[in-house]
Amino acid sequence: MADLQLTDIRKIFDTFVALRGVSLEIARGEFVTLLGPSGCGKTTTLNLIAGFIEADGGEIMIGGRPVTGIPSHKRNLGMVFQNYALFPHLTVFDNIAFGLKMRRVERAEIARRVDRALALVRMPGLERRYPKQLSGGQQQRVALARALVIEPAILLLDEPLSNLDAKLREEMRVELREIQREVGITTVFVTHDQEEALVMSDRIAVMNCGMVEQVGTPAEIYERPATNFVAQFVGESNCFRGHVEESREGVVVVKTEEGLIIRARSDRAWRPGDRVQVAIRPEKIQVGESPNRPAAIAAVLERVLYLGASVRCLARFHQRKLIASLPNVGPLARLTVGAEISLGWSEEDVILLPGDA
Amino acid sequence: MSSSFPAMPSPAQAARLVLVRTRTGVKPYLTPWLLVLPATLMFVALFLLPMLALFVSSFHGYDPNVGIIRVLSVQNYVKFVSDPYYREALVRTLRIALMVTILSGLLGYPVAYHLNQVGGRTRTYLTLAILSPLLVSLVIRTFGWLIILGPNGVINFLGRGLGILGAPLKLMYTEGAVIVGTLHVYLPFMVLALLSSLQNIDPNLYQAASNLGADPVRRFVHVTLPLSLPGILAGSLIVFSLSVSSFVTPAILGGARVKVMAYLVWEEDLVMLNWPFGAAIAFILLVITIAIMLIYHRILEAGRYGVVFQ
Ligand SMILES: Nc1ncnc2c1ncn2[C@@H]1O[C@H](COP(=O)(O)OP(=O)(O)OP(=O)(O)O)[C@@H](O)[C@H]1O
Ligand SMILES: [Mg+2]
Repeated sequence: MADLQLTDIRKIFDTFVALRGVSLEIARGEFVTLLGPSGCGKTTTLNLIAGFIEADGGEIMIGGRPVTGIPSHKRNLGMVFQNYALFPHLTVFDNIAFGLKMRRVERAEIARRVDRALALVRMPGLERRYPKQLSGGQQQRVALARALVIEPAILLLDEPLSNLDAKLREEMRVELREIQREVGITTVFVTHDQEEALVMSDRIAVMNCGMVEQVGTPAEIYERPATNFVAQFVGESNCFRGHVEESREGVVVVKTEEGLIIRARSDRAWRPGDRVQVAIRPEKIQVGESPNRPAAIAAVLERVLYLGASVRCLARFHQRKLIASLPNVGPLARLTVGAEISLGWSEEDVILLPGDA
Repeated sequence: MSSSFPAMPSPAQAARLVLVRTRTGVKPYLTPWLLVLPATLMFVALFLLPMLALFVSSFHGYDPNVGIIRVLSVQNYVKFVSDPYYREALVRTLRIALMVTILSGLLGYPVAYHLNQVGGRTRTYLTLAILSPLLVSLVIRTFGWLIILGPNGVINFLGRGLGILGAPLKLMYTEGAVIVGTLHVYLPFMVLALLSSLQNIDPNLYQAASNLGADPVRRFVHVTLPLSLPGILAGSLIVFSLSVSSFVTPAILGGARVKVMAYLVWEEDLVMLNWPFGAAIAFILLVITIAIMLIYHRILEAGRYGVVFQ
């Protein structure tokens, strides 16, 4: 049974439709990420779950019970805010103890649980400090401890890592996930950082314009995006427009606007003439010196971007820019700007998406 | 639009202007000092020096036949402390100021709280409405209270007309009248001070509190109230210091029956012509007021939520 279930949630601010029917099921202990561009309704969704605002339609069930009309302070959810929202007038200890005091837990028990929570977030010994005497990373841990100490039914995280510097952010991704597994708490995580979503989540719900475009594991989202938006938003893609020439036994032949023939695998039923979009991930493209494979095309290498761990090749094919990403192994000398190179891929790496009608 | 205003200097022009100034021989590091110089001069000439003169004069003697005697003695201060007439006036003044401060806090807080909740344009209009009493002359506003509180004023008229009151209530020339009148004048300062501190509270903190299980009442007690302490402090310091030294309102609504310190100073200076004693009274009030404000500040700072004042 789903621990958290959103059914066709709608939210309208004045005249602006922020959520147009969001549905999502999250199992107990699962870590699900809401991923989407700024303004797509991620925070609004969290606020609805937390009970800060009421939905204009649809139903939210927590632990199998509808929560419509239950005020936020009775929902027993833990939330970590983007700016942490630590109480500046309270010490670290009192910040974490806040929820327990509201639940009238007795003093000795509070001290015990706060200690445990601080140990859980790996930050003992700073109980007497005030929030502004803490670094961003420490504040983040306190906010997490404060949310977890009340043993909430669900943990809600609104871009909790976005205020940290790059290095710390990467460490905290791993650590946050470890803590979440340790506690085994159902978690909804919000981010607009696709890498963060891919690294951390059990499942990702990609949102756009107040709707969920696709829900799936990180691999499903990345390898098999269901819509054009998902293909563009999660990771990069080389895109071609075209139409289906023929479709037989799961193999689809597409002819692009440039006249290129691309073969793809697809379970969907395509008919000849269907307008489609073909996407190929940069790292799935192999770069060779000259056209030497059937599925390869000849392109002109325009720029080489050195990124340390990888190398990006920007090439031109029929007025179209293509990107290939190569791991930084072996000599790079063979990549000469201005030379003709071959770009190849295998047909199972080709993503086939419905094109605009 | 822009043609009706003189053009703003571009950054380059502004830089050139500064360079010209620097070329005239003024060292750049002097600039800030030069900028505050006029205000400082005015402060020194019109406030500090007169206060000093007042302080010195409070040690002078006075004889109705001779006038001011330029000796140095503490006799004025001794006279004040040893005479219950003056001591009572001091206590009365502090009591009135304290009541006004407390009442302005109690009445002003809900107003500021509500103002902080409403958005945009409504808030602007309501703020203007709250400030509007300040646009009317203090004297006129105070006489307004006379119309309400007088023996034939609105309250007595209505009370008797409705048969609630038998004999007319004596409302004028009471401490209550002074408190109400002063409160009316200074309430906006309290509201504005509270509003500015409430506006500084991150709205996410309210969400965090209710998320952690605080109902609206406990959210107010544990989050809103402590975080608005700086506003409470600022508001009460302003209101207290203004009320403790106010003259016009107590003079009109309290008259000779509710004598406050400012009234005593006026009496000594303009009726008795004993300027040295008037100066001593003014100084006693000043020192006690400053002491009370400092102690109050300390108490709040040393309190549980002292950190909010940093
Ligand atoms: N109280 C409100 N009144 C009016 N519009 C609102 C309100 N809250 C949010 N919106 C609008 O709803 C949309 C979704 O907002 P939301 O805060 O959920 O975005 P988000 O996905 O969290 O974006 P971000 O990544 O920038 O935080 C935005 O277009 C926003 O302008
Ligand atoms: Mg957001």
